[in-house]
Amino acid sequence: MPADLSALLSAPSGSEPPAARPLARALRSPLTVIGLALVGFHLFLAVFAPIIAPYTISGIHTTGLTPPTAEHWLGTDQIGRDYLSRLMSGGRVALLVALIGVSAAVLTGAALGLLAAYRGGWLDDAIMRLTDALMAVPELLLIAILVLTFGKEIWSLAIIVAIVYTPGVVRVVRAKTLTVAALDFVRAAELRGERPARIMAREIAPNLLGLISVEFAIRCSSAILKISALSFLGLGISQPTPDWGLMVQEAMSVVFTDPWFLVAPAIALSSLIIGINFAVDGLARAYGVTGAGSEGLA
Amino acid sequence: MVTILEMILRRLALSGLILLLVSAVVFLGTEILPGDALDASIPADELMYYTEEDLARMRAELGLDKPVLERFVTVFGNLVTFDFGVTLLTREPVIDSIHHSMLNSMLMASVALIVTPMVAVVLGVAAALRPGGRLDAAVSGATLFSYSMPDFVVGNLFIMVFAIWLGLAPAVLMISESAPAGQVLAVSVLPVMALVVSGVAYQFRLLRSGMLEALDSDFVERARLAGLPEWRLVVVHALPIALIPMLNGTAQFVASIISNVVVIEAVFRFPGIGLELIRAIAQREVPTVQAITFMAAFAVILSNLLADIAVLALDPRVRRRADAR
Repeated sequence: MPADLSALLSAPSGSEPPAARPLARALRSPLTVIGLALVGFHLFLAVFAPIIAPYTISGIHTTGLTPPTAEHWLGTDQIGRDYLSRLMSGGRVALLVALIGVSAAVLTGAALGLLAAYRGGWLDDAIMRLTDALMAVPELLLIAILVLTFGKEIWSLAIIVAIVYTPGVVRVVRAKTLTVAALDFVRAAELRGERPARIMAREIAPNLLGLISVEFAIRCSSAILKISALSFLGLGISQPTPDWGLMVQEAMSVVFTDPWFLVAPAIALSSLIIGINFAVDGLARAYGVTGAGSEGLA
Repeated sequence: MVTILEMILRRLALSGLILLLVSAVVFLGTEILPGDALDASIPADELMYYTEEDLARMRAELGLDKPVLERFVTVFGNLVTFDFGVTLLTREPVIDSIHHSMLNSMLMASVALIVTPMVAVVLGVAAALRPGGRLDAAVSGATLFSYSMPDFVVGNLFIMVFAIWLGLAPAVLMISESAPAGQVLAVSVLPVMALVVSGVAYQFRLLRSGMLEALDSDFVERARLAGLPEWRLVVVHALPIALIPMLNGTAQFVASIISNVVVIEAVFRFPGIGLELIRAIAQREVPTVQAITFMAAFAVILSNLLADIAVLALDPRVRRRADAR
């Protein structure tokens, strides 16, 4: 509360556009800035890794694992490939899968949640019981059994992420829709005789955007974690694709002699997740968005 | 009081319905394979030793030659009666092949299930007493950090620090699947610590916000005006109400502990159900995968039901609403 008050007192009167003020407030917190910087850094790496990496991800330079040298800053892996180059590309697949899968989950989940809450009745019951059932299966287990069915190519993993993350979004969006639908401007639109589809799209949906973006970011970080855990378990992304989860798993056998080999991918993955969560935490707080998904965070 | 019984019965019925839907999800998730479970479970290089008749006979024995709908009814009926059938290749009852590892995991998971909320309560109460204070900022920051660390990274970090650098614990668990409970618990210290670190953040945040809300409420203010000592206010009046958001998040908490157990077992090579599941998925041992997934969901639903009942017991507002109806 005191933070809100000081922001109110120090806010210049109307010289800034209103949307800029919460952003400026969020940027005053060092954790949020660190978070945003980390996310930016990782997105940059994911896009440009093949161009800026010193070597290719598959080129073989030595006959086995070597410690860091001047030519190979992080050494080479068991097969003799440059570890730094592989590390730089190690988040690409997980990030891509998470972005595609979670986008689909958020779009589907928002539509279903909106429909369930606004239409109510049997449709609401059916959608909610199905989400209950899907959410009763622990996420990693659900992902794992779906891998059994769909396979582990990039597109299969994206579909799996979409299926696994939709129910949570449905539940959060439904709860928010119930509150919004009870507000006066929705009542007014109903009294004007607007069609339900138009009310959902024009009156309610715009009020869900903040919640939906927070959900998107949080579930992206969760999906990246789960995809990495899956490859760590040997059930997801497999060789020769570089992937941080897989790299951690391979490094476990040499952790006694060459610990940096494990530490490097562990830092890479953790810094991406920490970045996303810090950024979301700060932004959600500044914009006053909380949802069931962000409850654990904001 | 009858109405509370009604509420419990209604939740029980709902839980039953959800369990039925879960078995449908498990069936759809595992049995709609391209090819079928038998093809997939036999390694490609061994497949040539089987004749076409052998395969047909095995398929008939396993009921895989029947149409999808009929198989669905069979599997569905088996799952909801806790009959998990036999494994594909060894024909051993699934329940026999997994019960040791399941008990090991339940032992480890239940310690984490008890310790995590306790740590969360202590930290949450301490943080909520002076919101925005130094302790609150430190704990909130630390939990956001631990929440963001992948569980397999936390596990490996513990191995590096406690086993390799400090030499306090063995890095790799040398323990047989059927080891006695005491021995299993003794080697579970590092895995449980990793589970607690990964799981505590979510519960801490729920408890902290619940505590802040409770301390701000009228009935606590009334008790404060009546001159009750501060510790009584916190422990006797505010805490029970502050536990409610945490209890409402039980399903999610238990589900995430189960996910984490699978990963942590792989990190520490703990002979539990997680390793069993990974093996079963790698070998496409469908009945075992179905059994483990179904039981995991059952644990989630059951604990959620118990938490719902605990909320009824804790929250006078919910009770009053039930009585008024």
